Amino acid sequence: MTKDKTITAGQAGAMCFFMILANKILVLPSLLVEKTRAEAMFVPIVLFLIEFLMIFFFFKLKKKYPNFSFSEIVRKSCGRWAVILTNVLFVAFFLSKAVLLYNLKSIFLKSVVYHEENALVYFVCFVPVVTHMALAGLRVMGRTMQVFLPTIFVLVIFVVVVGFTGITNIPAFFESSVSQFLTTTFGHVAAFGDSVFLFLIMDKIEVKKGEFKKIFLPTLFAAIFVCLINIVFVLAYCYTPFMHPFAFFELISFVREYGGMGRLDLIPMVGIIVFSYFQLAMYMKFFMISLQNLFEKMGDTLSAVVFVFFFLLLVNFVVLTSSQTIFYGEMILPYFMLFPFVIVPIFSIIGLCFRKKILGADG
Amino acid sequence: MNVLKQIENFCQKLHDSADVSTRFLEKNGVQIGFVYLKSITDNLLFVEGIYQPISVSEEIVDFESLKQAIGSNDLSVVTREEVLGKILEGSVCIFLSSDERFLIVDNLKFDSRMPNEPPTSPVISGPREGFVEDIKTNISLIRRRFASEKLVFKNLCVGEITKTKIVVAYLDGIADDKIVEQIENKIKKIKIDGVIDSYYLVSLLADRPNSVLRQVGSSEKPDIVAAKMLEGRVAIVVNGSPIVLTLPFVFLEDLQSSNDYYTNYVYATFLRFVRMCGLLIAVLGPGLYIALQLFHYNVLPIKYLITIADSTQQIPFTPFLEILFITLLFHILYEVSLRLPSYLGLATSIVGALILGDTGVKAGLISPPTVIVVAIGKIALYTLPEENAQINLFQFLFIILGATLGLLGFLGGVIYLFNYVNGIESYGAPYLAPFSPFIFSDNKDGLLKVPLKDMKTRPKSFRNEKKERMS
Repeated sequence: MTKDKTITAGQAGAMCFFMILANKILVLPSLLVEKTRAEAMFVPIVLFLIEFLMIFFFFKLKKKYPNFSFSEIVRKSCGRWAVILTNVLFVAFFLSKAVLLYNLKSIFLKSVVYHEENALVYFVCFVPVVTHMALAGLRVMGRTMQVFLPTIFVLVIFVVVVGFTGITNIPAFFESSVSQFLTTTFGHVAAFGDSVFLFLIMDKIEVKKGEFKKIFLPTLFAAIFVCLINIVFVLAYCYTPFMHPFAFFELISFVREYGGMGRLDLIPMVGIIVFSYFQLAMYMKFFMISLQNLFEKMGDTLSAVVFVFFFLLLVNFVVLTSSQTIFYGEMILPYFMLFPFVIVPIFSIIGLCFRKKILGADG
Repeated sequence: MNVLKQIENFCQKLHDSADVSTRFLEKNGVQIGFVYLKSITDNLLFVEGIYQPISVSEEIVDFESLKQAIGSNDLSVVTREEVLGKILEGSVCIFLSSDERFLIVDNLKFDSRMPNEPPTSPVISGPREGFVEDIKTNISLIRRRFASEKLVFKNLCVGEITKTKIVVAYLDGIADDKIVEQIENKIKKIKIDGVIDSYYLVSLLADRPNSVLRQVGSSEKPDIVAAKMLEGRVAIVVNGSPIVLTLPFVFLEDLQSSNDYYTNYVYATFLRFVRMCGLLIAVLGPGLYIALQLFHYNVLPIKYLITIADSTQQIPFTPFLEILFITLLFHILYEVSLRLPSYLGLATSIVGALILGDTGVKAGLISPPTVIVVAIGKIALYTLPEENAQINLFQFLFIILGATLGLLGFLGGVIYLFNYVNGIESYGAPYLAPFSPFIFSDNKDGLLKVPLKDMKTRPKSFRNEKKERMS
C-alpha cells in the first residue's frame, strides 16, 4: 500500500487540469478533422460529457466516504476479487496510456525539433525527470504542478487567442455522416478518461467543505480549452489537417513575427513539453500506486523499476512508428476505455448503493 | 585548601600556558589565591576592581566578606568540577584556604569591533547596525529591540574542544514551542570537536543536509533578525560569528531585503519582481540561450539570428565550449578578485574585462553575444540581497542540459529542479511557500509587498503560536 502524503483539493485540481488537457491538444484535433471535417468540434464535447459523468460519480463517492479508498469501497461492496480486477485494470490503463503519450510526443519532437537526433535523447530527458517526480510523491508532484499551472494557463489562452486571429473562413458543416461521427468518436475515446485517477487516489485528497470546486473548476477549464482548441483548429485547417498534424503547435506556427520578438512557436512548444513531462509522471505515479495496491509489500523504488521496464519494453517493441502508434491508439486502446467509462462507474453505483455495508465495519 | 598547591594545580591543568596569571595574598591568616587568563580577561579591571579592594580590606575571613569587599554583581560560587571551564571562559577564579569552593568573577574582555554596517548587507535607509563576533554584544543588539518579557534566550554549548557558546533566541508565545524544542534538541545532539562560525551549524540544522540549496536563514543585521523573530522564527547566535541564523527558512526570504520595509510598498514590489527576474535570468538565461542557439535557432528573430551568425562565424570553438569557457573565466576572475588585496582589484578588472574579454572578442576566440549573455547571467544573480553563490551551480547545470539535450532537456531540468525544491521542508515549512502551496495571506509579503496596515497576520507558511499581528 502506498504511503503517500495527502494532497489538497487545489493540488488535485492542478493534476486534473494537466491530465485532461495534455493529450487532447496535439494530434487529436487533426485526426478528428481528417475523418469528420467540421463536425470534429463536437467529438470532444460528447466525450467530455461521459468523462464528467465519471467525475460526478467521484464527487458522490468522495462526499459519502471521505476517508475511504476506492479499493476499500470496492472490496466491501463487491469482494476481494473485484479489487484485484480494478487494480489490474488501473495498471494496464496507465501503462498503455503512457506508451501512447510517449510515442506521440516523440513523433512530434522528431518532426519539429530533433530531426537528426537519436530516440535515446527522449529517454534521457523523460525517464529521470518523471521517475524523480513519481518517487517524490503525490504532494510534491501536486505542488510542482501548482507552480506551473498559472503560466501554462496563460500560455494556453495566448495560443487560443492568437489561433483565432489565423481564421480566414468558416467551413461547411454536416459533411460527414452520423455513423462516421460515431465511429470517429469511438476511435478516439482513448484520448479521454484520464480523470479516472481521481478514484485511485480518492483517500489521499483532502477536500474541505466547499472545496470541490477547486477540483471541478480546473477540470472544467481544461475541458473548455480542449474544445476551444478543437474549434479553432477546425476553423483554421478544416480542409488541410494532413498538413498540420500537431494542432496546438500549428495554431500559431504560421503567425508572423511580432515586433521583432521572434517566432512565437516557442510558446506552444514549451507548453507541449511541460504537459508531456507532467502527464507521463502522473501515469507513472498512478501505475505505481495501483501496483502497490496489488502487491502491498512492494516499495516505491521497485514499482518504479517495474514501470520503467515495461514502459521501455512496450515503447521499443509494440509501438514505434507513427502509423503503428495511430493503429495502437485508434484500434486497441478504445477497448481499454471500458474500464474508466463503464467498469468504474458500475463499481461506483454499487458502492453508493451499499452505504451501510461499507460504513458498517468502521462505523 | 592549600592555596599555593591549588595554584600550582591550575597551572599544571592549563599546561603552564603563557597567558595564565596567578596571584597570592595572605590576610588575617587566610590565604587567598587568584587564577585567570590574562589574554581574555581585563587586567586593569582585575587590579582595580578585585585585587586592590581585597588587599586593602581588613575583614577577609570567608566568601561573604570577600563578596562584600569586591562589591560586584557578577559573582558566583562554583564547585571544583566547574571551575576550570569558567577560567577558560574568561572569569577570574578566587579561592580561600578556609573554603573548599571557588568564587568566580565574570571579568571577560577581549577586543571586539563596533557594530558597524556589515559590508555584505548595505542599506539605503533603515538601521545600519550589524552583528559582531562577540555574543554578548549580539544578544544586546537583539534585546534592545524588544522591551518585552516574551523574549527568551537559551544558553547552549557545542564543541568538545571549543565549547562554543550558542544562544537560541525566540519570542515566547509567538514562536512555535515544538520548533524551538526541535532546534534545541538538534543543537544538543551535535557531537563535534569545535564550532568556529555559525556556518558550522548550517548543514547540521538543515532538514536535507546534502542539498545545495540554502535551508537556514542568515543575517548580519539585528533589525532583520528581530523582524524574523516577530514572525515566529527562532534565531541562533553563535559566539565568534557575526552571522545569526534563523529558522524555519523559506525560499521567499532570499527575495526579501530589509530595504523593502523602509521604502514605498509599490516600489518594494517592483524591486521584488526585479529580483525574481534577476534570479530566473541568472539560473536559466545562459542555458536557454545555448539551447535556442543550438537546437531551436528558427524561433529566434531573423535579425538577431544574423547577428549571431556573423559574430560566431570565425569562432574556432563550438557554442557550448565557448559559453563554458567564458563562464569558467568569470569564476576564475571572481575567485582571484576575492583573494587579491584591494589595491590589486583594479588590475584584476583591467585584466579581466579589457585584456581577456575585449581582446578575446577581437582575436575571434569568443563572440560578443555569448559574452553579453554570460555577463548578464552573472550580474543578475547579485540582485538577491543575500549571497547565494551556490546558484551558480544551477547555471552550469542548465548550460549543459541546454547544450546537450535542447529545450526538452532544459525544461526537464527546470521541472526536476522545481520538483526537488518542492520536496524540501524546513521545520515543517514548505520551501517554496507561499507560492507552492499557494497561501494567499502570505503573498501579501511575498512577491508583492502590500502596505504594513494590510499585513495583519503572521506567515502561515510555518507554524507559529499567534497568527494575528495587528488588530
